[in-house]
Amino acid sequence: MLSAANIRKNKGQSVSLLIFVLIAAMFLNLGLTIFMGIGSFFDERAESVHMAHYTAIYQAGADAIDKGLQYMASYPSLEETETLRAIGGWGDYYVNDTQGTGFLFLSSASSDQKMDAPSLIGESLPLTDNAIYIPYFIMRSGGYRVGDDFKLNLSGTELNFTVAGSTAEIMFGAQFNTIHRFYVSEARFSELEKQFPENGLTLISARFENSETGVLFQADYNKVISTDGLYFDLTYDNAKQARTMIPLIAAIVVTAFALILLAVSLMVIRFRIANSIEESMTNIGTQKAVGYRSAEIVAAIVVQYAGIALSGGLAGIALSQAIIPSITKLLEPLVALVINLGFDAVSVVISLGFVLLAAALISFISARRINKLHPLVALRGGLTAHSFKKNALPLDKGHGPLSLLLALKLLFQNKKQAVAVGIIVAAVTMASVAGIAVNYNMNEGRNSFARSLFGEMPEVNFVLKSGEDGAAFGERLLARPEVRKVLGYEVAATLLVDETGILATVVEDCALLEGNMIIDGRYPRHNNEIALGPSILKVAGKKIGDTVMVKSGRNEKEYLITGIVQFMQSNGFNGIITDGGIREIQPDFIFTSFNAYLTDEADTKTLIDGVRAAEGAIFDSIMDVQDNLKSTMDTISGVFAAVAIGIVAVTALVVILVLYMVIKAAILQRRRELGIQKAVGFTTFQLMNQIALNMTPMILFGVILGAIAGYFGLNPMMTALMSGMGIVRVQLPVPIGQTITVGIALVALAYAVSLLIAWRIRKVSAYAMISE
Amino acid sequence: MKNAVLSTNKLCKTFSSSGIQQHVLKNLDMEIYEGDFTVIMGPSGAGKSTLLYALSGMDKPTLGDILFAGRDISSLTNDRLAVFRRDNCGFIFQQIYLLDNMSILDNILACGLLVSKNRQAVAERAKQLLRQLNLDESMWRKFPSQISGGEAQRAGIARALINNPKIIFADEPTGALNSANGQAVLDALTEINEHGQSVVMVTHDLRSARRGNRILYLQDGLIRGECQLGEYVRGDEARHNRLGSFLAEMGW
Repeated sequence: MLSAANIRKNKGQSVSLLIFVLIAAMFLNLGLTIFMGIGSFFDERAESVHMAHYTAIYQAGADAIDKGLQYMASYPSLEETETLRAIGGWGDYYVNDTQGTGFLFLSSASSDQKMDAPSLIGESLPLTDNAIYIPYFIMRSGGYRVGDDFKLNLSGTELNFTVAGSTAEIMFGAQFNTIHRFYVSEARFSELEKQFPENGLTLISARFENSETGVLFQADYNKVISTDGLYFDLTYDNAKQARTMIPLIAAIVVTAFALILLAVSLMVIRFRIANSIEESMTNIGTQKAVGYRSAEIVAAIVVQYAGIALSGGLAGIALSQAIIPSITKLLEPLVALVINLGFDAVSVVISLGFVLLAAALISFISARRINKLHPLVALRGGLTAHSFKKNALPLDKGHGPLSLLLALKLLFQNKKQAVAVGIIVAAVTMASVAGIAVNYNMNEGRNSFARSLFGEMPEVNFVLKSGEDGAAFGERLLARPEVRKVLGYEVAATLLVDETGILATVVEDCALLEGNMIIDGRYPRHNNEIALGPSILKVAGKKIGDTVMVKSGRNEKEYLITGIVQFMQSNGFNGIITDGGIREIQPDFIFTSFNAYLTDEADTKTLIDGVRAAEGAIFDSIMDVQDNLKSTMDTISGVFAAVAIGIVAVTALVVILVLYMVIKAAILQRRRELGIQKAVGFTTFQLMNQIALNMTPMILFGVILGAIAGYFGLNPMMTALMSGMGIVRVQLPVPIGQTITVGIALVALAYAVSLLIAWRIRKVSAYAMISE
Repeated sequence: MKNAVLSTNKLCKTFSSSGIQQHVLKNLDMEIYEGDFTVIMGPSGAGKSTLLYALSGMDKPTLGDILFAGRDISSLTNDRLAVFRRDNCGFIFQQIYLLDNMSILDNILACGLLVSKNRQAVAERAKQLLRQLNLDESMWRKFPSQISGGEAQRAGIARALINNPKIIFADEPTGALNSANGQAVLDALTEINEHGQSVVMVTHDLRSARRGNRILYLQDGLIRGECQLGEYVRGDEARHNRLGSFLAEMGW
C-alpha cells in the first residue's frame, strides 16, 4: 500500500526510472542471449548435419591421403571417417559486382556424403544442367535469388551457372573463410572433372567423440603425416571460433554497455531514495509515530523500487526478444547461417534476476538510514541536508554572472549528487566514444584498421597457376606505368614450429611491406630468421632472440625469432619468413602469389582488366584486395555501426533521463527557495539558467572524463576482446574531431534539456511557489 | 495632499479548486500613499495576504487594475512583474524566507546584484544596512539556521531594503517571532518609515498595527473602514485606544 502510494506520488520519476531499467534489461538480455546462444546454436546446427571435426583438402592422388586415412582410423575416440572427391582451386566469385577471391571447390550433390551433407536453406530447385547451390553467405551478401545467373572463375576459366538454392555451411563458406564449397549435379560434376583434370581434390574427414579432439588430432596429424599435396586442413573448433568471434565481441560490447546502464540505474535509485527520504521526512515521522516499524517502511521502499525494476526488466526483456530476430539478421552474413536463437530462458532468468536483485539490494542499502531516524526528529523534518560547514563562493568576493555564481554555490552544496551525475555522464560518454571510435575504424578509417589487423593490403594480388612464370611475370607487371611495386607474397605455407602447426606467410623482401604487422622486434631479413605470431610464441614459450625448430615435411631447421607479428590469421598461430628462409626447409619453393602496389592515380579495375586481357591464362586468381576489403568491411561495419548508433542514442537518452530526474527532484526540493528568488525579482529565465548552469559543470566534467577514458581505454579494451584472435596489441585511432563533436553535443544537449525541464517553473507564480 | 503610490480599480481575486470558486477580493478600490506606514487588518480569511501579494505584483489579480505610480501592473507578464518587483518592491515575510543555503550576507547580495552590477558598491550597502539593523560582522557569514529568528528577520529587512525600493511589503513580519525580537523588527520598520520609506504591512496584532499611521480594515474582500493614526494621535496608549475603538467599530 505504501509502495503503491509512493509510485503514484512520483509518477514521472517512476516512469523515467522504469525506462532506465527497461533499456538496461533490454541490452543485458540481448547481449547475454547472443553471448550464450550463438555457440550452442552453432553446435546444434553442426550436429544436425553430422559435422566433421577435422577435414583435410588434398590434391587428388596425393601420397599422404592413404597414410592420413590409416592414421585417422587408428586415432583414439574416432567415430568415423569419410572420403569425398571434388574439383577446385583458387578462383573468383562475385558478390554484388564485387569480386571475391578464395579457394573454391565444387562437389556433386548426389555423393553419398554422411558428414556435413548439403543442407538447403529456404527456396530451392533440383540440381539440373547448370544449376548450382551456393553458400548461404554469398546468397545473402550478393542478394541472389533462385534462378539468378551466377559466375565463378576457377583457375582462370569462367564458369556460368544458375542459382538453384543455398546451403548452410559450417566449415567453409563464410566471410572470414577463404574456402568456399558449391554443389552441382552429378552430370555437371563429371563434365567439370573432365574440363579440369589438374584440379581434382580429395577431402578426408574425421568425426570424434568430442569436437575438441579435432584440434588435438590436427596437431598430432601434422607431426606424423607429410604436408605434401595438402592444400588445407581445418578443424570444427577453429571454424566455429572464426564464425562466432565477431558476434561474440558485439555481444560482449552490448553486455558491457548494459552493465554500465544498470549501474546508472542503480545510482539513480540511490539518488531517488535519498531525495525521497528528505521529501517525505515528515511522513516517515508520522508513520513511525503511529506505529510502523522501520523495517516496514524500508520494505515498502524496497518493494517500490523492486516493483519498478521488475516491470522495467520484464518490458526490457520482452522488447529484446522482439528485436533479437532483427539483430541476428545483421549477424547472419558473419555466421553464414540462418540464425534462430529462440527464447533463451537462462539469459532471461539471469537478466531479470540480476536487475531485480541489484535494484532490491541498492534500495535496501539506500533506505537503511530510516532505521536510525528517531520519530520526533523525522516529524520535525529531519536534519537539514545542506552542509553548512563552508559558504562556498561568497557573492561579495566572487566573479562572473550572478546566475553562474548561484549555480556553482548550489553545486558545491550538493557535491554527492554532482559527483553521481558526473560519474553517470562519464560512464556513458566513455561508452559513446568507444562506440564512435569502433564505428570510425570500421567505416571512414577502415584502411588503417585493416592494415593494423588484416595484415598486408596491396591493391591487387595475383595468383599464378605455376610459379615457373613468376619472376618474368613480376618484371612485366612492374613495367606497367600504374604499378609502383611488386612483391612476392605467399600465404599458405603450413609449418610446424616446435611441433605446433602455424600458417606462415612467405615474403620476398620484408623491407617492402606496407602493413603494420610487426608489433615488436623486426621482420626477418636472413635465411635463418622468422617472425612469429603471439599465440604460437605463447604456446612455444619463446620470445624474440630465442630459436625455434621449424619443420616442413621431413625437413627441419633452427630459426632465430626476430619479431612478433600480429594480424587476423590462424588466431595468432602464424608467422612471416623470407623466401630464402622457407627454401631451407622447402627447397623447391617458388612464389605463385604476387602483390601489386599501384600509384595514387592508377585505377585498379583498369589494371586488372589490362593484365587479364594480356595474359589471363596464367592466373589461378586475381584479387582486387581493396574491393575485397570493402566487401568484408561492409558486412562487419553494418553490425558495429548499429551498435555505435545505439550506444550514442542511449547515451543521449541516459543524459536526458538523468537530468530529468535530478532537475525535477531539485525543483521540488527547492520549490520554496525558487519561489523566494522569484519573489525578490529573479526572472524565470534567470532561474532556469541557474538550474541548467548548476548541472553543466558536472556534465562537462563527466563528458571530459568519459572522453579521456574512452580515448585511452579503447585500445586496451579492444585488445582484451580480441586476444582470442591472436591480437595482443590494438592501436586503433580514436577520431578526435568526432569525439569533440559528441562531447560538445552532449554538453549542449544537457544544457538545453536542463533549460527545457526547468521551464516548468515559468507558469508558477512566486506566491504559489512560496505558499505551496 | 499625499501622492498615491499604489491604487486599485475594481480589484478581484478568485481562487478555484475542484470547480468551487472562492471570491477573496471583490471589486476592491483603494490607494496606498507615498511615505505612509499602511497597515492592513482584518479577520482570518479576509484576504489580507492575498491583497498584499496582489498589490506587490507577486500574484496576479483575476480582474481589475493595479496602478503603480500611474502604470498598470496587473497585465504584466510574470517576467516583467519580476523586474517590477526587484526595481520597486521590498518584501518581509512572516516565515522570513531567507535562502537557507546561503550566508546572511549572500542572501542580501543575491538580491542586490540583480539590480546593480557594481559588486563592491552593493556589498558596501548590504554591510551598512546590516550594521544599521544591529547585525554585526560576526553574523554576516553565518547561515540562516545559525542565527535567531529576530536576527534572521532583521536580515530579511536588510534584503528588502537593498535595492532602495519605493515600497516595502511586510506580511505578518512579527508573526513567527517572540515578543522582544518582534519589537526590534517593528522598531526597524518604524525607523525606515520615518526616513520616508512607504511601508504596507499586514497584521492581526494590535501592538504591531499601532506602528502604522493609516489602518485599513479588510472584510469579505472589501475595505470596510479606515483609521488615521498620524501625528495627531501621539503616545502608545492614545494610539492603542484609537485603534482599539476603530477595531471595535469594525466588529474585530
